[in-house]
Amino acid sequence: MSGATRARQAQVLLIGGGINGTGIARDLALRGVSVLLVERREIGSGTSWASSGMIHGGLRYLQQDPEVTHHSCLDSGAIQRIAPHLVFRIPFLMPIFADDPIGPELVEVGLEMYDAYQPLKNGRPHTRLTPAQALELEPALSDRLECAFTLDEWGVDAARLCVANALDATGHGARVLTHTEALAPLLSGTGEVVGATVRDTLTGERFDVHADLTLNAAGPWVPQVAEMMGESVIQRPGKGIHLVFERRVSNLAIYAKGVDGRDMFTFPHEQNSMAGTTDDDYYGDLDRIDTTEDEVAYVLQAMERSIPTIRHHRITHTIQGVRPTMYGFGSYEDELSRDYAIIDHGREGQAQGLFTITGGKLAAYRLMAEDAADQLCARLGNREPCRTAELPLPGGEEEADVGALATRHAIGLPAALRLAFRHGSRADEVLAGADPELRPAKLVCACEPVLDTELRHVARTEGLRKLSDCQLRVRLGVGACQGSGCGASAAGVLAEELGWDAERTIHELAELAALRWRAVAPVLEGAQVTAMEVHRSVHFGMIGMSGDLP
Amino acid sequence: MTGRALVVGGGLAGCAAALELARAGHPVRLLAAGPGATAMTGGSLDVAAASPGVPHLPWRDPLRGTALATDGRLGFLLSGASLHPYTRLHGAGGRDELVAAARDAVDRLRSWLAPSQLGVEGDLGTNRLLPTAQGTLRITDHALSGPAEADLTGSSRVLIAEAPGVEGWDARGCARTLIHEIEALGLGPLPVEVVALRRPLSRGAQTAARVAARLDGPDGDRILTEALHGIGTAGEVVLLPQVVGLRRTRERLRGLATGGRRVGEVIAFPPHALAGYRLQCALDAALAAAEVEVIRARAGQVRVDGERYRVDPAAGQSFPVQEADALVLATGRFVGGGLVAGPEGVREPLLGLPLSDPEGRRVDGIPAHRSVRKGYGNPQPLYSAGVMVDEELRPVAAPGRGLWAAGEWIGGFDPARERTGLGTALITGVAAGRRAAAHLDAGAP
Amino acid sequence: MRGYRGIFHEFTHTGSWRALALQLRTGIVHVARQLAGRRDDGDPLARFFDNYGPDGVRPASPVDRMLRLDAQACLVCGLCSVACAAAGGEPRLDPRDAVVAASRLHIEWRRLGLEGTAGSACAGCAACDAACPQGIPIHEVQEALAAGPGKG
Repeated sequence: MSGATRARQAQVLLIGGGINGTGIARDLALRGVSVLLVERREIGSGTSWASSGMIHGGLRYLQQDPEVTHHSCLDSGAIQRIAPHLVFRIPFLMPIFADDPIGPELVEVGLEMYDAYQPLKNGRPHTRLTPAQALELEPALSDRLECAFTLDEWGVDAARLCVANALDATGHGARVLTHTEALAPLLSGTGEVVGATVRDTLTGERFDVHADLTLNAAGPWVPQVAEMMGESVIQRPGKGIHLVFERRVSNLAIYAKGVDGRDMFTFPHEQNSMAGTTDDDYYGDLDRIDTTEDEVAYVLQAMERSIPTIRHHRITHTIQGVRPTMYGFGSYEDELSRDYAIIDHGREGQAQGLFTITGGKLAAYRLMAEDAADQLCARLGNREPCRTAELPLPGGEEEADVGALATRHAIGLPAALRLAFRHGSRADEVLAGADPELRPAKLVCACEPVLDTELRHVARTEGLRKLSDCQLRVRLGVGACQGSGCGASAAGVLAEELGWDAERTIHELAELAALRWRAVAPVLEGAQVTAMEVHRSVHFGMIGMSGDLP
Repeated sequence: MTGRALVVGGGLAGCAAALELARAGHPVRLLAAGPGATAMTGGSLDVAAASPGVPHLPWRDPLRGTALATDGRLGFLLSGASLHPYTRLHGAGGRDELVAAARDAVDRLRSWLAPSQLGVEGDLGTNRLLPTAQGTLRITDHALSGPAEADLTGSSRVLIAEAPGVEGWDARGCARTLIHEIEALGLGPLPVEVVALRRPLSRGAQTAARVAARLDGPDGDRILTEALHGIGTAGEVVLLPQVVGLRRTRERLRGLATGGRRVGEVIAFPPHALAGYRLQCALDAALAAAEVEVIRARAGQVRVDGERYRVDPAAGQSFPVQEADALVLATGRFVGGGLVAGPEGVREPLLGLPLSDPEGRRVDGIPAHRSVRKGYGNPQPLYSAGVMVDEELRPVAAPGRGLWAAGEWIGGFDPARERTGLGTALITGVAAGRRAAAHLDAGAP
Repeated sequence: MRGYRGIFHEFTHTGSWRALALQLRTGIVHVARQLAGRRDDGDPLARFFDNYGPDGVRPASPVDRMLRLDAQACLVCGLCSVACAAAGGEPRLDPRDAVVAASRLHIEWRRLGLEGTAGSACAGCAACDAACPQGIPIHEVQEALAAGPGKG
């Protein structure tokens, strides 16, 4: 994903490296279209990273249009096939309480409808449990329940899914430039958009990218990018936060209702549990979204109704983001459509050559990408079919043998498990740089865990450019210690790989620490207060950071 | 008949108080819940480290922070941060009295640690330049054996040993930053090189602790000698990660200091640090030698009955209620459990004492997240707050006349940013112990 | 009829004829089955575990829940691993890594049939427990990792 100074000509310029941008880049690249993608920050660092990370089948769409559920389930199945290493099954437990507005029989009718679609996504049929059975399954559940149901969905590492799409795109000739922002449109003599002037935000280098077509896939930044291009796209951005627990609260996701009746969940996500999410109109700075005290209280209040002991569980930090929701007037946030639109600005009599994709959801990313790529290919005269549902993403070729991986490379089982999760069948390749005798793979981060060899691999082959980007790429620094144990070691490894001088290295570390503080501060309680005391003593006391941080 | 003395807290502050009480001839009991901040220390023992947290302190100024010897920095601490625990100690004698108290306390510490072969090197008149595992330089006054031997002052060349299997250690990364630090601090010319050891210290990837434990084995000395054979000559310093044994570190490093070279360890941090473990072990040994009775359990609540204190066990702990005529509390901040961030807000669990930061802002009874500021580098009330004490180190608002505070439990400073955590623990621990002893000598109750 | 509360709300919020048709069809079958008495598909909990056993999902035992709440206090300070090394312990999984993995990776180990391969070499000397500033019963975590389903 490097090569910033090479060819700056492409058939399609994509602006935005979230799940939309990377998904479309892959789709186009597989059809032989030359693509250049610019991402202003890090792959998947916006809405994708802040999402619940679920590839759900669309239970809630059954009431609107069963066809949507059908397609969602089909595509959930497809994503499992192409990226089996990045997905994990999440069994859901849905307690029904006497004061719930919808009775259990009606809920069960809904689940019976959903059961018919579950096989499409390798899901399991629902079960109906008595209170005693539900409590046997999950003793933390409130004993006020009337009955409970189980169903299942799939979770995914959304940031890694974006990276996998980007990697496959580059493997098929695309160029992906991170930390590169689009500054201004390139216009032809007749006013057509023929690319953009972009700037590498780390080096300051500016250059022009000439492209036949330009697609704005900047998620919640779509209106800003559109404005920069001289166009107007309107969204109704919805902020959502998640609380992230130190480890798993349960291996089941548990439904909870907010005081306003909204459905939320506490759900296992990779090694942790998360709780959320909220949905509120957002008018603030998209580049500085902070979680507020009342959002935290709202989520915890909801969770407490289903899991009375939820406040005993340690919350390490929050993640927050903004959905690029389509504009709608006069409705509540939650009722707004998660649908998407592809706008051909030329067809609307405005900028020729400019397209925008807006709206959408993670679970449907592949279908949306296919739709967008179809439209772009039609314009380019490319007749290749979409192959993204059949060809595996990098690492999804076959299942890695975790036990063998651990033995062969003399690494711990936890490290092998997580490596296989992130890199799938390529985990062996990742460890090729290590030598059990001379240069053994060493733990850098104990929480996740992350090995130094993996960081080197990611820096060399995935175009990693910043220490803070490791939060997304390998989940470094998002565990119990929030980077106090691993940040400095990781910075050292990356400095060597990326040629950072000492000043840059310390700056990268300080930046990571500052970001982690922002994520932790709104929920700082209990054992996390103690962990952050150690965190501060490592940074200020031992390493000797000074008070002026970025 | 002598009264009963009780110390709560088994870190440096609590141990210092208990050992001073024992030296004065009083039978002492010590309640220790488990390791705390002392056991996590990285290897420096800062009485007055160069710190950006103190106003006017020359940190990275044109003289690059080395301009002031540490006794001078103590003066800055006294003038700049009015609520620092040190300001409670200088009495009428001002800075000189504090310097004398600090020198005396360090001497006491040396005598406690000596039987365990753990040294405290340095003095208040000189800066020591101690490299960290990250390659930054800590400018401070005292250090424990291991990092103490890595002082770069006066060395002609720095050789950083590669140890590819040791977790948390990256010789090349350390070298890169160290070169930059030496240049930025104007310490040059001081060449820095990475060297390969003649034989590996570990097989495969290992934590520093496991490598150190292996080097404590029968052939550990031979492995170290062979590994360092021919590396470094007179005036040169060889840097290792913290792996030179869990015990006998000073002896080993002295044995390796042949031909005028020095061999030392970098300052490391959790989970790669051993310095704190060594310190805690040596303190525990000193307690045993002084016949301090140690109860390994967590204290619950302190009640006062006239002039006598009663300490209950915490929930889930079992020991008989402890009675004391003189009580020293040295339970630390959040690490250690001296402060607790719970659902009802931050609180001091033993007596429910008020907690405030250097500006007098109360943090007790307030949820922790409301006592923090945006911006990691900003002063944080939550991490500067603790119990307020009077000139006698008695907690303000605590009942009775036989109660003293020691260590980071005392508020009014931020140990991380001011870097005086262990120094405060030592000096206030010794002072509190002596005051408690004097109280008992005077015939209390 | 409490079981059918909200039916009016549900119908008014149905978005298409196709959805309505599916709801009515499924609903009628559901009501008919309810009237004919409970269904005959056995113990639902047993079915749940049949369904999710291959994913490593097991009922949470009291030990599992206790350890989860204890282990979450971990500071990753590494003092347990120093104490373990000092005591001459040689567990396959460092105590620090065991505490970190507790409840995070158990399900994965079960899914892949790797349980029992991690903590079995821990001698149970409990030196780690005494070294933990947070009071985590670390050697119990090791034992739970080594134990099979039902115990951990």
